[in-house]
Amino acid sequence: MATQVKKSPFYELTETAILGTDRKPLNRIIAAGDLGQTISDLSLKEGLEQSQSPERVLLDQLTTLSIARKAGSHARVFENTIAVCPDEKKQKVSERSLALLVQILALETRGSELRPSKMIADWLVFCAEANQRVPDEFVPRLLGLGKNLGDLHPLIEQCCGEHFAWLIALNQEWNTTYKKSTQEQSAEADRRQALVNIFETELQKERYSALCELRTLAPQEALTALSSAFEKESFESKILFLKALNTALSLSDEPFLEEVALTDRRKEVRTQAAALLCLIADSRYQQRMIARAEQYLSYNSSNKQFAVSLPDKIDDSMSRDGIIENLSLDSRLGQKATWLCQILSLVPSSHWQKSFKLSAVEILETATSSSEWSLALTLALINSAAKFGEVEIQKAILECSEIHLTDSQSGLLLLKALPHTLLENLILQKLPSWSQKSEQAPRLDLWYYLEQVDFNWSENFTREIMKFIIKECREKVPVFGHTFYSNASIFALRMHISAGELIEQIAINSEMTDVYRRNALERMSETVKLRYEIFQSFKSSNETSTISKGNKQ
Amino acid sequence: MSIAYTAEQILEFAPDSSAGKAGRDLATSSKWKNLGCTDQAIWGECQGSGANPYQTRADLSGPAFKCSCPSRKFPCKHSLALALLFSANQALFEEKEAPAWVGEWLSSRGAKKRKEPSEAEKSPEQLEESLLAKDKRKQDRLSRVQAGIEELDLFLSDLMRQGIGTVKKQPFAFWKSRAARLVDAQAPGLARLVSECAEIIARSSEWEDALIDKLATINLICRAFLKLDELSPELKADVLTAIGFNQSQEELLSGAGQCLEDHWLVVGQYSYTQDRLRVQRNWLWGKRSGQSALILGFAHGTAPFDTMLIPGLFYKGELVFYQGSLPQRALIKSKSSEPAIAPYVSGLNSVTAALSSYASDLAKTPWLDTVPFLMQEVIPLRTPEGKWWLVDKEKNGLPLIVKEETGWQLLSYSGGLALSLFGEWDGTTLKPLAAMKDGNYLRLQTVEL
Repeated sequence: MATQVKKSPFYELTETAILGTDRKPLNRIIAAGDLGQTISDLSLKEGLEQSQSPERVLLDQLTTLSIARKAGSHARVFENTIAVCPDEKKQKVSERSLALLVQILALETRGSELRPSKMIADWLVFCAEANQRVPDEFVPRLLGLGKNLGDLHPLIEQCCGEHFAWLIALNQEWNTTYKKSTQEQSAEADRRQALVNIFETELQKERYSALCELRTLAPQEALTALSSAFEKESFESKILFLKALNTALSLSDEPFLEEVALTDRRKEVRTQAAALLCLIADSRYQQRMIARAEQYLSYNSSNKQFAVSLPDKIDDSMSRDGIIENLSLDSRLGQKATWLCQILSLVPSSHWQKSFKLSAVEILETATSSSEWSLALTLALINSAAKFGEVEIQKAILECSEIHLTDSQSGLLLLKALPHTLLENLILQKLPSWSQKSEQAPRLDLWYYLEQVDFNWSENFTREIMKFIIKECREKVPVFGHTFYSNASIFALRMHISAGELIEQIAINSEMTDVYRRNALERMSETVKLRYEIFQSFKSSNETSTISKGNKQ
Repeated sequence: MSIAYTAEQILEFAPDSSAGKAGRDLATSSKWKNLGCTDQAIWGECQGSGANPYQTRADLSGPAFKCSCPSRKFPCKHSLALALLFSANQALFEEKEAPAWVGEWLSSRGAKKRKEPSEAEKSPEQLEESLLAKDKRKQDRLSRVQAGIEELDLFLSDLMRQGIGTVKKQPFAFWKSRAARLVDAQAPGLARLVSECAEIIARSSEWEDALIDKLATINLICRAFLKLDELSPELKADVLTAIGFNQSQEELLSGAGQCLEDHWLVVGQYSYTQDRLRVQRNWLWGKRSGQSALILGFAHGTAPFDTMLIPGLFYKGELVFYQGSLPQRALIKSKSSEPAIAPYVSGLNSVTAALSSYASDLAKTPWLDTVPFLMQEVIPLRTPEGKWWLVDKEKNGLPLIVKEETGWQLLSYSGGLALSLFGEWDGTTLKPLAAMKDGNYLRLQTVEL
C-alpha cells in the first residue's frame, strides 16, 4: 500500500504563493504550535472579521512565516571538526617583504614577458634562503599561484611552512597540483613509481616533467617507460619525450634510439633520435657518421688546406640517419653543401683534431680559409661546437674575429649552448671595444648575447656590465642597439642582485633625447630596484632577527 | 608623526586599482624631493609631466590629502605614493617646520571643522517659518508615500493571485518600473527592496524562499506604515527610515540622537555600487560598551568617501545614533586624531547566543535586514560538499556566504584553531568581513551579491 506523505501546512502556504490563489485557493491553515496558531488566527481575524481578500491574508501569513523562519533558525551540529595545523617553526616574512610580494603579484604581464614570474621566483628564493614563511592567511594565494608555475612548487612549499601540507590535505585541487612536490618527500622507490604512474596517466606536459625527473633518478626505468609507450605516441610527443633522454645519455640507450626511434616514419622523430645518437661516444651511429664524413673531408698537410668533396645524393641510409634532403641552413649554401654541412655537424671537432693532428684553432683557421667551402665548414664547426660542447673549439670560435655569431642561426645556437663563464668572459673581453665612440664602435651585439641566455649572471659580470652602462649613459655614447629595450629588461631580471646598488648611478634624465633608450633604461631601473628592494627586505629582516637572537643569548 | 599606516591600509584609500598601482610605482625616494613632516602632516614634491613639481601633502590623522596635480582622482597617485613612502621609510621625511603651502592647507582644514551650522544663524521668526515649511513638506511626502504604498499593495495582491512562479519569466523592467513608481512616491527605501527582488530572481536557482522573505519584509513595512500613528516613537522612526525618510544629521548631531563615547574598532568595511552611487558600510564595535554601529559613507564616481576609516584600527570618539528601536546606524560626532592599533573586542560566545540575539532583535524590528555578529572562539571549516561553516566550541555551526578564495584564506588564518570573526547575518547566512586572532586583524573580501 502506497504511503501518502502529508505535506507541512507551511509548505502548502509556500506552494500557494508560487502557484497563485487563482490556481490554488488558499486553505485555512491548521497547524500545531505557536506559529500554527498565529497563522491560523491571522486567517480568522483578517479573513473573517475584516473581510480581507485571500491574497492579503496569504501575504500576511507568509510574512509571519518568514519572520518565524528567520527568528527560529537553528544551528547545525558538527560532530567532527578539522585537524589543527602543526605549530610553525619558521619566522614570518616582514611586512615590507610581504608588501613587495603583493606588489609583484600585481605587475601587469605584457605579452609573454617573464618579468612577473621571474620576480615571484626571486621573492620565493630570497624567502626560502632567509628560512622565512608567508603569513598564514597568504598561503592559499601562494598555493593558487603555483597552479601554473610548476617549477616553483618546491619553493612555494618551503615558503608556506607547516600550512602547506595541512592545507593541501584539505583541498583536492591543490592536492593534485602539488602531488609531485609532496611525492618528492616520499621514499625514492615510491617516488619513482609515482613518476611512472604520472607518465602513464597524465597530460603531455606533466608526462614530460615526470619523464625528465625519472630520467634523473633512474635512467633505465625512464627508458623502459618511454620505450613501452613510444609506438602509440603522436609524433609531437615522441619528439618531446626523446628530449628527456638528453640527461644521462649512454650506450645503453643506443638500441632503443637506433632500432626504434631512428626507424620512425616521421623525419622529425628521426632527426631528434639522430641528435641524441651522435652524442653517444662510440655508438654505431657516430661511427657511421664519422666514416661518412671522412669520405667528403680530408686534409692536405702540404698546402695546409682541406680537400672537400660533396655528396652526390642523399641515400636511404643517410635519410635514415636524419640527414634532411631539403633543409635550408643558410641562404648562401647550395643543396649539396647543406648536406655536407649536416654530416660534418654531427662529428665532434676532436675527431678531426686527432685525425689531422691539428689544434682546434688550426682546424678553424683552415676551415675559414678554404675559399670555396669555408662557409659550409665553418657552420659545421659551429654546429658541432654547440652540439658536443667541446670547449677547445668553442674558445677558438669565440676568439676568431671573422666569425659573428649573431649572423647565423648556428651562431645563436652556440651562444645558447656556451657555458656561462665562457660567455661572460667573451662579453667582458669585448666590452672595451664596444665602448668606443659611435663612429668607431664595432658591431654592437653585446645586448643580443645578454638576451640569449637563461641563467643568472655572476656578480662580477653584473657589476662590470652595470659600470659599462653607467659610463655609456654619462658619456651619452649611443652604443645601444635597437633591441635594447627587451635586452635591458631581460638583463635586469637575470643580473646578480647584489649589484643592484649600482642602479642609482645610471643617469636617466628628461633631457635624454632618445626616448626609446630612456624608456628602456627606466624599465630596467624599475625592475632592478624592485628586485634589489626584495633582496634588501629579506637581508634586513634576517639581520634584525640575528640581532634579536644575539641579544637573547 | 606617530601614525604609521601599513601599505595595505593606505591602498584602501585608492579610488581604483590603477591609482593604487600608480601610487606604488611612484613610492620611491628618487621621484621625490623636499620630503618633510611634522606631528600633524607629511609633504613632498614629486616631479610630474609639468614644468613644476607637484606639491603633495597629507594629514594622516584624518586622513586627508591634497595635491597640486590636475588629477580628478582622489586621493591621487601622488598622495598615495607620499603616504606609501612614509609608511615604508619614515627616515626619508625630515622633521621640520611646514612650508607655507602645507601650513595654509592645514589652517583651512581647521577652519572648516570650526564652521558652525547655518541653522543657528537664523532668527527665531526665520526658524519658525522654516520649521512650518519643513512640517508641511513632511506631511505632503507622507501623503505621497501613502498613495505609493496603496498602489504597491495592489501590486502585491496581484502577485499573490497570479503566483510568484510567474515572475521568473518577467523582464528586469517588471520590478524596476515598480521601483521607479515608489521613487516617484518618495519611498526610496521601499524602491530599493523592490529592486532587490529582481536581483534575487536573477542570481539564485533557489529563489522562491528568498523572494518570499523579501516580499514579506516589504509587506511588513507597508502594513506598519498604514498604522504609523499607533506605533511607538522608536518603531515609527524605524518604519520611516525603512521607507526612506532621512533623519536630519544636523538635528541628530545637535542633540536629537543618542550619543555614545567609546574606543571604536572599525571591525568591518566593504563597499558596493547602488544606482551609480558608491556606498561604503563601516561597522564599528565599542570596546567598553560592546555596542555596534554602522557608519555609511557615500560617494559618486571616483570621489572619496566622506568618512575615511581604516579597518582594524581603534578610534576614540563619540558616535550619535539614528533614532529607532534598535539603534544601529550612527554618525561620527568626534573622533581622536590618531587611531590606535589594538584589535581586541568581546563579542558573542556561541552560535546559540548569536541566534537568540538575532531573534530578539527581530522581535524589536521585524524588517531587520542584517545584524552584525562578532563571534568569538569559532573555527571555520569546509564540508565535503564545498560549503563553508563557522563552528563554535559547542560544535554548533552557522553557514557562511563567502568566496571560495576567501574561505580558504580564513581557514588558513585559523590553522584549525579558534578565532574571532565579524560578519553580517541576514537570517540565513553570515557574510564574514573580518577575522581576529592573537591581536591581529584580517580583513576579508566580501562576496558580491
